[in-house]
Amino acid sequence: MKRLVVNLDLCIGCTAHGAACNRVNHETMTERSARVDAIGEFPAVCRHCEDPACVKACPREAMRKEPDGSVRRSANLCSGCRSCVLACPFGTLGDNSALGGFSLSKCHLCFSRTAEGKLPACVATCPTGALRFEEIPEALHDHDVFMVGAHAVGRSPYVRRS
Amino acid sequence: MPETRETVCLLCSLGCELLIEAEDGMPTALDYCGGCPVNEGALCAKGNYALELLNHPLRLCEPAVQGRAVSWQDAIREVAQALSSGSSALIVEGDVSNEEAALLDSIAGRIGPERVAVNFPTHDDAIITALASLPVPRAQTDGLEHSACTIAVGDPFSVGPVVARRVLAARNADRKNTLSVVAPAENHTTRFARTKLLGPVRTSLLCLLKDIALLKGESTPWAAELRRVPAAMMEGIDTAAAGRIAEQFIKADSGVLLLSTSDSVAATLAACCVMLAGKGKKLFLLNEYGNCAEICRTFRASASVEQILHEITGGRIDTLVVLGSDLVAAYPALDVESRLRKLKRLIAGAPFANRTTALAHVVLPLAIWLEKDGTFNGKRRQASAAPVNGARSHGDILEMAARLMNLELLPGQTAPPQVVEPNASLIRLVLADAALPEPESVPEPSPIRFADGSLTDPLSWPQALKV
Repeated sequence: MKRLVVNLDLCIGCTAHGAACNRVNHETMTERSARVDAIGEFPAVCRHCEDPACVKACPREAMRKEPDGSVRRSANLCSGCRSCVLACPFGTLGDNSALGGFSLSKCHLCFSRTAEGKLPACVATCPTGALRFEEIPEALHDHDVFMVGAHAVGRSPYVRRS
Repeated sequence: MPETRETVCLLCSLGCELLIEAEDGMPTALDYCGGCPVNEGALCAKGNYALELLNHPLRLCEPAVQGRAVSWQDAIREVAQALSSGSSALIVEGDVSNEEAALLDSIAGRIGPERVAVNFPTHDDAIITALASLPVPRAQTDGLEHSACTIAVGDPFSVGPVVARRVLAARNADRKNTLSVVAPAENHTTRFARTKLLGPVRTSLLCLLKDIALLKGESTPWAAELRRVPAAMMEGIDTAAAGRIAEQFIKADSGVLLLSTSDSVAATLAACCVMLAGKGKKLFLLNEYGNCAEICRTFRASASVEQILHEITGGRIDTLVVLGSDLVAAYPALDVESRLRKLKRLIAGAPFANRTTALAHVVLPLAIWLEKDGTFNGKRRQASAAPVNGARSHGDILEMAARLMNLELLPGQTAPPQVVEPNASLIRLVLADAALPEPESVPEPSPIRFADGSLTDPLSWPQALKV
């Protein structure tokens, strides 16, 4: 499946991705940004893990691994226990309960846009083309570090940092 | 049936296009316009929030006189009466199309050009006026991508993030490509610079200009004038870096100076750098106001906001019509509020309630660019949305007022700007200006608040996450 990847050599920290995410999702969520000193600001979003901890932690089966590989949350089933927020090893699930009720800020890879053949909103809006929506080459499964641009920004989306 | 229209963003001068989907005049969605050569679908955070402007909570709902809602006919009668009085003035700002600028020009011709001003709080007009008289070659957006040497002045990545795509493409395409940044302090753009020149922008550009003159070794009088600039003027500037930038710029086959500043003296110095560097060098100007260049070209305002405020203090103007501008917020140092309170009649039109409309006797809700037909940034566009609450455009209001006043509006006779060759006397003037203290920089835009309460502050990158 395709994943969001960021080329930090092109990221200017403009936060347009957050604005696009917020707009497309009708202000119910915003992509979290990770800020790295002297590098920039880039989205820190759900990695749609192969073996997602949030899905295992959910007592109501509201978190599901979809056939397309993405991890999505069913708002109807969710009881707002926040188990998924605590379980996520990457801290990418945001608790938006300030909005009223339990609202989870979680990337769903813009499934309604991608179904129409469009790019996810954050990728489409990125002014410099730093954000891409690409197939992760199979070869990367064997590597610990996922390289983007000239910088190592973390492990593969599939591998939990030890 | 939903209808999708292309529109052009007016939140800076780049002219990015976007798609607005609307049903019965009500916009339902915004999407990215992949076919636009300027932005190739990309939008910055400002552009993404364009539709938020339409139903903003501060949007004015109806025309009002002394706090009471009135019909548009009555409100425009007030405008006509105000403009007919012998002691009135008109200040216009905002989303003005080329057609509206032409109308404004013809109205100014009738009621007195010395009493009509176009307001640009970011001084974009001063920069455009300063550059209009200089024969400096201009680059198009795609020219940025093919530049072998780019010098960015100010923080263009912050003013128009979409421009970064082409600048970085040029920088990364060939490792010999150089990106240099001249800025008062570290900013979004400096992070990508191969060479940085940090410090007062005027002095830095003067240093750069002198180095270009020395390297070119031309015997032109203005180059000779520059070589005589005392070294003391360049105190505190990294002269070695300036020398490197000058050398790279001259040697490059093609070079672009990307200018984003609010200081007209710095703009003139930058233009002189481009002209002196010679063949293949071009200037790309990035303004904060969309359509600013066209407005300045069409409407040559003979009055300034400062002059009109001075006349108000002197009691020579007692009626003021302000369309689109929040003068109180735009000129915090000029004590605008107490001056406006001296007026017999203040008519303020704006899309959103502000501190000037709060003082006004007559308040007019104005349409924003998404609700207007017209030519913006060189592209003719239809309105993407019906005006919220029946708001009227600048052009509608002025045209109807002119009809009530029985003014015959003739197209203005815009004279082309007189081109001044950069001779020794011009350089002497520029040098005298460059020695003056730099103006205070325009305040940074407020951070964006998202629905979850988090704020983005683009310039603060704390040492938060180390991976």
